[in-house]
Amino acid sequence: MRYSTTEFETIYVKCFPAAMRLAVSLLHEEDEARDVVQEVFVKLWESDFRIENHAAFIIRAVRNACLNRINLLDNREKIRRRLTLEPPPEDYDPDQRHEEVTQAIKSLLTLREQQVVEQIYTHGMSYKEASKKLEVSEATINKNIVTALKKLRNHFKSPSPIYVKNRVVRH
Amino acid sequence: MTDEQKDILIAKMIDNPASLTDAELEMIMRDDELREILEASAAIGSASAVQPDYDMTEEWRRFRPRIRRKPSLTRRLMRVAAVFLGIVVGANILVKLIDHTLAPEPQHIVAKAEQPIEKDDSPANDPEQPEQSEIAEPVAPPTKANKPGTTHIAKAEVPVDEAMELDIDEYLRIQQAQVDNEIAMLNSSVIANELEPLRQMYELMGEDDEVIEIVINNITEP
Repeated sequence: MRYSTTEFETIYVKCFPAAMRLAVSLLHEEDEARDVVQEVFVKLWESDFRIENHAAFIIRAVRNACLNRINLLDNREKIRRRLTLEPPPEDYDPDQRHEEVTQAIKSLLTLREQQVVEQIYTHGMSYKEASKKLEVSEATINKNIVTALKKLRNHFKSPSPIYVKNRVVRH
Repeated sequence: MTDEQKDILIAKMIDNPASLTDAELEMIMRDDELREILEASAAIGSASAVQPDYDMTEEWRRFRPRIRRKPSLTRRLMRVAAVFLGIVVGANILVKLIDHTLAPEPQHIVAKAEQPIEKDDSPANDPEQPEQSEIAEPVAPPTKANKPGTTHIAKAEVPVDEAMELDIDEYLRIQQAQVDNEIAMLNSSVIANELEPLRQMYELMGEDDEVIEIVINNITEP
């Protein structure tokens, strides 16, 4: 039993945003993420069976497809693209992860460290560009980044926080 | 590895990963603390990845050309069968048309048949009424109500087409027989060519001719 185009459009419109958020969160590149998501939808379209829970199927398929793509990359490329080396947990939720990291950045890092992280990660600047922008030396940029990463590493190493209504509650 | 060395590696990892040597990559992968820092960096990278609001009308428009219904296997087989059938029928019609065009002209049996029939019963033989016969001959329609003489003419016209049909059919049969003969000849030559290496191999093995014949007969006979 196959889907009609109208039915499929409804499924696509409903499930695409979540699938894209997950793919972008894992691959860090929007075009590649869109390619993966579209491939999953094409597979669903071509399948001869109907799936009860489309959202769950698509999220699962997108996650696996992204991890397969990451596995094909060598370590240098993974580091360049700041991709995860370890597969994320089964119940990985990009929105929750995003909130968790954002909260940690705000609560653990100094203002200067936050500024440096923002320039490097959000705006994709090099140390040189960030040092010009923030009017500090490259050594200071490096020191701030190293300190920030160590703080976050210690934070994520500890038992995972759970979130209740946007508040972090520790076990 | 000292903390200072690790800091240098972290700086390379974040700012210029292309400058990492293979040995440094190896060190990073083997060091738990550096791997965890890499994971923290990946987590920030994920959280910082831009997540725009998607225009779903536009997204669907971009995706739509990628989905096209594949025809089912039955439908595909039927298409292939239809194409094959079309080729066979078309070729058959073409062959008949060519044969018909190139076939020798059939003999005019009617002309021969008319002469004696008209001589037997025609009033033209009557020397007293020569003018009537000249007029009646072309006018007489080929109907059952006609006089016996004219009825014979009507009957004699029908076998002309039949004779042509018979000629074409016979010609086609001859052509078919020739084609069958050629196919049989080709088959025998192909079998002979294919069996030649086998024969040579058996000869190399020092087998008797009788044995070779038995083996080949076993292969070729149905």
